[in-house]
Amino acid sequence: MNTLDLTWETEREDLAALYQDDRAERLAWAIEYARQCRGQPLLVKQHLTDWLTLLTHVHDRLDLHEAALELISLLYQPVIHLGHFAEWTSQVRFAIAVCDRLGRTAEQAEFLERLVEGTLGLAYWSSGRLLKAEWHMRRSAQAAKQLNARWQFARQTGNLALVALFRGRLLIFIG
Amino acid sequence: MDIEQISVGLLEQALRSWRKGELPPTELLDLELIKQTDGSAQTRSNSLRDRIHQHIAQQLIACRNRADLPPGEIPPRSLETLKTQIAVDFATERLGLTRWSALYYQYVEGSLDVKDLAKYALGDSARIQETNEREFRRYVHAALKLLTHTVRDWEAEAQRGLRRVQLPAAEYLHDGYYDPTGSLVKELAQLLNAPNGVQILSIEGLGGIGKTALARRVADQVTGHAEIARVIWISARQERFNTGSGAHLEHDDHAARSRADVISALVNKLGYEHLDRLSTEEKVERLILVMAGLRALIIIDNLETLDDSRLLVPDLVRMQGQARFLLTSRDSLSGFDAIHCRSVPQLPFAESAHLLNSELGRLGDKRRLSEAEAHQIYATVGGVPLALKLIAAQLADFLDVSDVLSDIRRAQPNDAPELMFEFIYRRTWRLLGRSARRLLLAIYDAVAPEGADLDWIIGITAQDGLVRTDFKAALSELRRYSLIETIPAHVPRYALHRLTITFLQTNVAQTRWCGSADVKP
Repeated sequence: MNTLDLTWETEREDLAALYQDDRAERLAWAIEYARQCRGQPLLVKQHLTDWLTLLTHVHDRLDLHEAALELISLLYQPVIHLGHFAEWTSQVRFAIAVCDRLGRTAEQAEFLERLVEGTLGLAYWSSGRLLKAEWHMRRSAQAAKQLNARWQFARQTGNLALVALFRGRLLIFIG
Repeated sequence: MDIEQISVGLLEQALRSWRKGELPPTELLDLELIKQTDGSAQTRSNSLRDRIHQHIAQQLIACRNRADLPPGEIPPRSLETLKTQIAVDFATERLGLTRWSALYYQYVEGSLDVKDLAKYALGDSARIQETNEREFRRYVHAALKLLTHTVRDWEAEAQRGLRRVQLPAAEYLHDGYYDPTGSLVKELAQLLNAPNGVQILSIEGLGGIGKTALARRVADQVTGHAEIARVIWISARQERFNTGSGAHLEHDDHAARSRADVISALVNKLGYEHLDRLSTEEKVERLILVMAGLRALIIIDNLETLDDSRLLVPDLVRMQGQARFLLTSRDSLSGFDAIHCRSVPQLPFAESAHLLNSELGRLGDKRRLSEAEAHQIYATVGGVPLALKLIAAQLADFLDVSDVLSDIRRAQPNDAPELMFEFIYRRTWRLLGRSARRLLLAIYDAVAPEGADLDWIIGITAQDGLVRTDFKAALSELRRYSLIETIPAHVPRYALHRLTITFLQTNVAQTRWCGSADVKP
């Protein structure tokens, strides 16, 4: 490595340090702004990709994961209403992993349910594919039970009962 | 008109009116899908009638094909032909065919009334006539329901068409590809515009050569052409590159962009968000149907950054229909027969020298580079517009060209263009003040590659302690060194060039800090 490269190594350390300096504050501002934007889908839509950029960068900072979780929770509903499932899925997966690491099982169950099973179950139900709906809801209920997330479990069981009723299989469900 | 107002009853009324040579209900004449038809109510009525009649006939032929029947005569030349055809259609007992056949003969062909049609379709021996008529009407009604969905889709499409051009604002319009005569833009636009022109065109070349800017200009030209009704822009996320300094860059699964993401983006941008829940394969199948009748220009920028870009190409070939695809890629797609590849050449020397001098002028530097100096730069960075612009910005601070080029010389553009940019950016970084550096890093951290408005950027940097005056100075410093692009729009947006992001990403990622996911004490 020549002298110039050595110089750059030091400068790179400075660059990275400068980058790390204010990340927590930036994230805090983004959370506060997300709070202000609740009920204003146009604003959420306008800045969604900026929030996503910030969240993606936060993945590498363990100490910011809890704050990131808060931001994901805040944005979840408006983003889903806007129909941005594809862009959002990776953030919900990240939230599940963070909850797992932090031992926040109830929230983990909630995110799990949101990510796949329950949401998928409802989606299939609404499109009339009851067999698939039932399968996903059953898995969601199982996950909630394993994680002792009683509210999620109750909700999914209720949904399952309705799907079973639609399929004319209520007795089998009860059995 | 509200799409939900398009009902079976309304369409049946219209079909009945057309059969009698009258105008349809006035609500239908206000549909967005015939708004572009010039002229009177009669002209609009004819336009809608022709479209609906054509659709019904097409559906009938398609159903006959699926039932292995000949397409038949449409319209039938004689009553005998009509009788035979309707009887054959109904004899197949295929639901789709019987429905479209019933609708076609009752309202499009229209020479017989229901009583006769029911008799020829369902026979008159085994059933009483009234039952046959009721059953025939049920078939007509079922087909009308399908037709209603189709007309609603057309109208939804037309209403979406009000926002049919989804291009990023004039990004890099003045900062990227340098083509004073516009000849390449014209050539590519003509290729795409020609009635039997190229369907998939790939613009290829080095990073920083101006592929995105060129694609943007081509899209601008093509937008105005009647052949193209919609323009959609999909941008793949920037990749990370290894500078060759030995540092390993982690692959970020969450940030990865793939074929599935592009298909999803296409579904969303076309306004079919409800298909989001389908698998990628299913989405492709649905898009094939959508694209069959859609004259659109779809631009996929930075295709090479997709993990599985080569898997996407066969999908594009299948989906093309009446659409045109314009791709930009560093990697050549010349291995695919269906793709017309056009590489963006580096600027010749004369244009490179002109660009350097005009950049110096823009920065308020009145000197003109001598031919020897320009040659020196050209020999080092080649005719890559972004590199020339970055160099020109540095020259405004350093009189000696050799100073500016000293470390860049170690990376020749033909060997490793990314490495050349790494050295250029390092030098630019050294020239920045602390506030500009902080602003640059804040934008990298919290602004999407597509850019954000000033309010957002002020918001994220207020936390960095950048006061208003500092912020303004920092912003103009970034502009001066061509590190930030201003994207003109109703509310202007500010974005970093993809190569600037890559430079920061590379250098930030090579240092791990306490609290990072991979903590280094």
